[in-house]
Amino acid sequence: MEHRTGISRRSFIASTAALGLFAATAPAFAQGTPKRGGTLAIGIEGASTGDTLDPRTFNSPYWAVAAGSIFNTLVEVQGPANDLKPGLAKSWEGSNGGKTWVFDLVEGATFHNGKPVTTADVIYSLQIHNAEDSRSNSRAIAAGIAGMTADSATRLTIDLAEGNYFFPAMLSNYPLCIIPEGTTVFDGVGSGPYKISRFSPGEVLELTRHDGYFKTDAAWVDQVVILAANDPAARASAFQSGQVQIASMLDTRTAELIKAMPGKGLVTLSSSQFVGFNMRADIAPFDNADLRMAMKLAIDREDVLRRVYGGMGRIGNDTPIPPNDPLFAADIVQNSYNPEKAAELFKKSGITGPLQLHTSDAATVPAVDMAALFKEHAAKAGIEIEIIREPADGYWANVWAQAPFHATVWGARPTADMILTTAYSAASPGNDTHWGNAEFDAAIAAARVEPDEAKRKTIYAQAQALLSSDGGAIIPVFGDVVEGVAAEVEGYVPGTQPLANYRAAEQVWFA
Amino acid sequence: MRDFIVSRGISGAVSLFIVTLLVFAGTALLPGDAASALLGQNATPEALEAIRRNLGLDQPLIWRYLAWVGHAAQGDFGQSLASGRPVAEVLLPRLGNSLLLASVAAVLLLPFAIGGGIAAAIWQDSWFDRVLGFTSMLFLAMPAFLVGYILIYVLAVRLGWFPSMSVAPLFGGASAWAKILALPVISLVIIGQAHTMKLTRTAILAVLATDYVLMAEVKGISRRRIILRHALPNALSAILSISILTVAYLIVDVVVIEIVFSYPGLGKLMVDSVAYRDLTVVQACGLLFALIFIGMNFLADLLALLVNPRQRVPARGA
Repeated sequence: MEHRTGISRRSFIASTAALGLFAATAPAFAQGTPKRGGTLAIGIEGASTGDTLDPRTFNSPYWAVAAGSIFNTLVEVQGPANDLKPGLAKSWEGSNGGKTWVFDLVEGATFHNGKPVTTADVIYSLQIHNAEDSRSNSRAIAAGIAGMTADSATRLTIDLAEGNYFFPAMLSNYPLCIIPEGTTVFDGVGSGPYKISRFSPGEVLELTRHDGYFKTDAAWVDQVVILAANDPAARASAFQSGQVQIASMLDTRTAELIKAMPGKGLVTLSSSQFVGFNMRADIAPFDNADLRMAMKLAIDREDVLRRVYGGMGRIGNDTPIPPNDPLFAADIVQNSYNPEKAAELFKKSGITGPLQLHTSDAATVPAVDMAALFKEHAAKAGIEIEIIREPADGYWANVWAQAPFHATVWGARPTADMILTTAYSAASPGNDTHWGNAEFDAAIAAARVEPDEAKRKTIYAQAQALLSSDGGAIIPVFGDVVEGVAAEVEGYVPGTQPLANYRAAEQVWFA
Repeated sequence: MRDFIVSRGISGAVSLFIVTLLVFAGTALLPGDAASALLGQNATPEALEAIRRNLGLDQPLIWRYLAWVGHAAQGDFGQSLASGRPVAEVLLPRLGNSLLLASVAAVLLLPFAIGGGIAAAIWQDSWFDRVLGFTSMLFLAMPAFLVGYILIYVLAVRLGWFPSMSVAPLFGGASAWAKILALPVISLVIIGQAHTMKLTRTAILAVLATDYVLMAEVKGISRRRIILRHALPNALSAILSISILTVAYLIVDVVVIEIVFSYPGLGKLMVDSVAYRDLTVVQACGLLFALIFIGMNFLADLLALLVNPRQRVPARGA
């Protein structure tokens, strides 16, 4: 059931925005001429009977894909290089140190109810995320907006409280989709390629083509069915049996078996989601920097990659930036397995006795498997780890960010700035290692308003060096995301996030 | 007869009351609440507080229990904590789906299993009896989900005859429904037939061991005629009870099978709702399952009574 999955919905909640820096290994899909027709079925996890069509509640892969089929955001990201593409905004420009942004909307975009999309709709759609009762995972983005002005029906100026050159990328976050102004009964009316014909929460979403869609070279299939397949086994068998043509987040351990079947293709995404272990840097015993480094050297990353992820992933360096990311600091010291050095540092720290590591299925199955391996690896360095397996229920409320030593999971974010700020800056509520480093905070604040890309990269390298050598997180591996795409499906452009950056429905056609 | 109905009615009501306590206590004991499940890693103390206040989770437990029982007695199960929709609105279509699945399975299972049990008794200790006994034990010993996964592998993945996920179809009417019901129904029949068959066989054999059957045998009546004319009517009350209990068990098995096939029934609803701490839905589901089970037991006893007049007398004294 759900707990057997690699990424459960709960952990995906953990991963909030789940947009992000992935790099995809593009498979060789035959690209014929697009043609209309057919029904596309997609199997994806993260649906519940309690689901609603309020974009502020979208917080799972299922709803990311649904949003990408029903709605549009202002900006979209596409392809393995994470290129920014026009969504409802055809162009945008930042000025004033990244504080002022002007967006021009496309002409001729209409909602499913026939109403044209205007700047008033955009303002309303962004504002609701910061409303008092909002539980949107994009609330922080909306909260950073100081003011919005509709200069005309198609021109919008957004002022930010603080400069941020990543702002357009952040607007591609799937809950920030545009709905008609004044919507209070959320019935799923959007401007996207498909409109809802049936919504059965936790079961299925059936969509039919929106004939007034403003993108004329998209939305080829007539109908889209998004099946709630929370169970990875159900997802895999639905794909194998041909009931769905696209299935995402398949179990890496069975990927080879699926690939061997005729007519079934696999796509591997180099996701920047990660599972790691947090050492709380603010309290004993992990307020000791020697102990933190000893632990980082006491885990065999290659072994974790091989045995937990079946070799499908990349080695991490205790920062949330994976090696395939353009901002990855390749020149800093890579932490790797060194039992002798770890033993030496452990001794120097003066800490004795077993260290209790809290882990749980809530932080995904790899977190549990990885803890068991870590225990073995650390034992060779004379460090005793006692594993405490917590129930998945209530893990995020009662254990995560609270226990001195615990498992965590973070989803990919649209920008390096977002993950570094959310998870590691001293003042962030999401700072789950409770690490506070003024130099690090200053570096990421400076990078945010640095227009020069090369300089920005240097600053991020410094930040990664600080995190890797002193931070409280152990991030050994970034696991890949595996998805299945049937051979008859054409036009699929693997993105950096699942389901072609969640917009597969409008991209593909049947051969 | 009236005494029986009254006394069983009272004991049923007491059972139901105990179930309400257990269901409520069970859901209250779960770690974490709807507020933290809704917010997950996004939780801030203020947001948690606001959601708890909205959902009434800040009220004392006893008060919440009394309010819940009071409303439930009037058929009002409140609102789903996750979506805010009335629980009845969430529940009813799912209940219909589960009942459809269970009744189709029962209609196929009962004649097959009872017939098999009778045949096994007629040809007791023959190769037929042994093979049937072995296979039914094999399926009895197999966990329900395993049967489901084997069927998916063979009939959906390898042969492609049926869909592996049983999502209610929008178009296609009866034939589409038949297609999605096929695998869950076959699983339920395979899992459920074993004990019905075993119990039927045992019930018939028990009657065959009585003196009047021995007498009939001595008179030279054929074994087949003895079973059909003499043993079967006398074993009927036992078989009826078995059948009704089989249906009750089916409703329990439905929970697991619904998960395996992603079938949108009551069982899947309950499991999903536990995961998201949608406690009002979980409580209503728990109560409904208990009600069905208690009702089925009552029905089994009542039918046994109607079919077998002899049982009415001891029931009064007992």
